[in-house]
Amino acid sequence: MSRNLRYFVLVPLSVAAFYVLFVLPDVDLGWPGGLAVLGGAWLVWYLLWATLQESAAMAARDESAAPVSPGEQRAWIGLVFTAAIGAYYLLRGSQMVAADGSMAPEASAIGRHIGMLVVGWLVVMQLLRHRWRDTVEQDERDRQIEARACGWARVGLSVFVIGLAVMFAFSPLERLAWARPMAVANLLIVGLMASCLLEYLATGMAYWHDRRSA
Amino acid sequence: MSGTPIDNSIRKLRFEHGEMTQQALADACGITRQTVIALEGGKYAPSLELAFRIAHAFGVGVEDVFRWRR
Repeated sequence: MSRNLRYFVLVPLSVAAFYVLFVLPDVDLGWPGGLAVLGGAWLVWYLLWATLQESAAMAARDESAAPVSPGEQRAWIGLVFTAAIGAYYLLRGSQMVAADGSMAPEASAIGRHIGMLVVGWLVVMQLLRHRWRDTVEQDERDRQIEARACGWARVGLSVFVIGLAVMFAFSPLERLAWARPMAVANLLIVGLMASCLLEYLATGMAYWHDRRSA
Repeated sequence: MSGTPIDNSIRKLRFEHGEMTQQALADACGITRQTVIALEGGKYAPSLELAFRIAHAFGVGVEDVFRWRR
């Protein structure tokens, strides 16, 4: 199967696997069903990972093609995992707040799922670091791109915090009934994730733009 | 990253040094191959330290590798 066709099949399947495993309401499939869903999801993600690594290896061997540097790989992987955590948080975050504004019983299960995604991210990065052990991971250009992306993220976070401060300062109290402790905590986490997402996106785009025009 | 006002002869010097690969130059200077590509394409202006490292890898002076575009 050609690599483009593999991406065409595997990318939607990976998103579907993420949705089935993390976002769908908890349906008891019994242990065989649960194991099949978990195994299927991991298989799809592994095949996508293997295809991406194959593309990276091909580009590294080809002198005429611009390779994807470790810094760019780190940025795109960070973007995918932050987007996955953000999407999950947006889809299920409201279930973390109980009717009285305190922490709902579902919050611990949602937190566990987010923890699983973070562990998955750390495992992927560890595997990549092992692969990069004989190469230069970061140089002055990578640091310059990162610093610029960090600036974008700082601006984004500042805009978010100023917006929040203005909203809380000038909204009448009756319109802030939703702002219970858990809801405000969730909002702050969403802001933090959005700034991380912006930083990874700016980093990835800077590398991609350079590579495309090389 | 936008273009820089500094021209360079890295590509020419690589070929004059036994068709040195981009990866070989990157390894000699402690940078990534993508940075070599960005330098050759005029997309990135190196620091003074990196400019000296590149010149040293070719055994020439910095002014033989980099020139200010007037």
